[in-house]
Amino acid sequence: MDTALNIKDITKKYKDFTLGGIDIEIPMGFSSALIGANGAGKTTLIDIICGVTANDAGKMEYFGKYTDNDRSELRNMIGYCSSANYFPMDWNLKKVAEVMDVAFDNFDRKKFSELCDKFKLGDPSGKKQKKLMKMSDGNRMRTYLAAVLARDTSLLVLDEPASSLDPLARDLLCDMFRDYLAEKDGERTVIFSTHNIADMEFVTDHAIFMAGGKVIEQGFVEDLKEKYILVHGDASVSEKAVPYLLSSTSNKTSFEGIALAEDAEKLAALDTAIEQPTLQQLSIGILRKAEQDYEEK
Amino acid sequence: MKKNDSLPFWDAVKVYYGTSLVRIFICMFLLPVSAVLLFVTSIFLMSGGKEEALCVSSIGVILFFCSAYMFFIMDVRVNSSNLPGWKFLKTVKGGFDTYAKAAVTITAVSVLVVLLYSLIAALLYIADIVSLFNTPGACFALWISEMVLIAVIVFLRLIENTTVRLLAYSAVLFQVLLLYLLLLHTVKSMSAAVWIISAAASMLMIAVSSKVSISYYKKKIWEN
Repeated sequence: MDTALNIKDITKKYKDFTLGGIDIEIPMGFSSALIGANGAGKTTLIDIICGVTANDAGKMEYFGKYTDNDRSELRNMIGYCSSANYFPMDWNLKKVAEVMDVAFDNFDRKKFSELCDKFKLGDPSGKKQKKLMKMSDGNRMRTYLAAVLARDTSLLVLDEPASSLDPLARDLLCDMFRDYLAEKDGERTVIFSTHNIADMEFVTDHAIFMAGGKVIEQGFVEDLKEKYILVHGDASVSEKAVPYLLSSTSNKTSFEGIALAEDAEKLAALDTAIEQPTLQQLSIGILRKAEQDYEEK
Repeated sequence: MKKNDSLPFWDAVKVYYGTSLVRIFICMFLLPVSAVLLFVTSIFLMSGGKEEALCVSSIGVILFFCSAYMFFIMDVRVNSSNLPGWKFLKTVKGGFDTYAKAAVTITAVSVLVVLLYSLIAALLYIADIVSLFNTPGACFALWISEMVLIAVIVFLRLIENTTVRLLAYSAVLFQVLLLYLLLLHTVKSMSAAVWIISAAASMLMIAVSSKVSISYYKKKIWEN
């Protein structure tokens, strides 16, 4: 399988936070989600991938041949969008289109108009134009997404694209991801970050879990769902089940947790219910374990 | 062979300001002039139409102040990593080269605006239409003070925090205003050669400050 992005030992140090060393392989032709709580380092990693922030150590290889020294080639190939204040606030759709046309070789104005129409933002060539500062957070995010999706890129890197979108817009975004990936026969890749995977579960093929600036788990979603199991049972057996659980929650009557699939037989013998977790449940379980490990330290 | 993704300077300005270089030039020229015209009209009306109520030297001071803040605001837009749009600007075609072109162009436009003010004042004086300054040499005083100010604006790019930069600029601005007033008083006692050399030296100051600030900006802010 081809790799869109190979990240080796990427490190970035701030005063009170250190990212890394991060080792990730992003498969080409798939949609990868960076999942983690607020402050896990997702935005920092995305900014390093796109050249917005410099890393202190480590290497990256893009599409099997470019490195972070090849920024002039990579700028047109990577479509990057941050979650907030991506464009100056006094710009309107018309200005966004004009500047994007100058700033990138592969911006398609016609496609931008179509996307603005799909996102119900209005006509970029219209006379009355609302400035970004007057738009809602959701419409601003739609503008950013329309601008980046109107470019012919090979790698789409989006920071929390769904955070301010309503459910219909999120659904539309998922469809757009699928269309984007399908257009170039597996040569395009999407990376997005989220702290709420429930909204983007159906468009996520590959997941990378982050906590405290480190990658704690990664893999194709289908493989992860076979590696882990969701366990629930009566509160009376929770004490016996806990040693096998990576993380769990419980109340007076029942408990629920994530465990490794290899422990399924032992857990089944305790009269617990076992099922395949959703990505959302897996995220909660894995991130909760990371939180517990951090508190123990 | 690396791909050349450099933008021409007028496109670099378009990317950073969202508008054309011509519009920016017109705006930077006209806004301070509008402030001066408003001031002159107000004084004229308040004095009941008496021409002698208008203090000619005050025109230079108003122009100095208004253009000073105009240049600063335009410079902040291209040099602030904590303003919206920063992440977008870091990923556009040309990268740092685009930033450098936009920064140098806006400095050059500031210098051209001051040159235009001086030329217009000189032409109006020569044509005996109106004398905007007390003496012809007052143009030099304005020119040198504005050049020092532009060099200061460029150096202040080394301060990343926009609020701190504005406070530092406001403090320096009054010192440069004192320089302007001092130069106005020494105009008559200095030869034309001294004025010309001083004017040339002030332009060199801008070139040096621009080179230093862009190198520092790349190392400490852009690549961080």
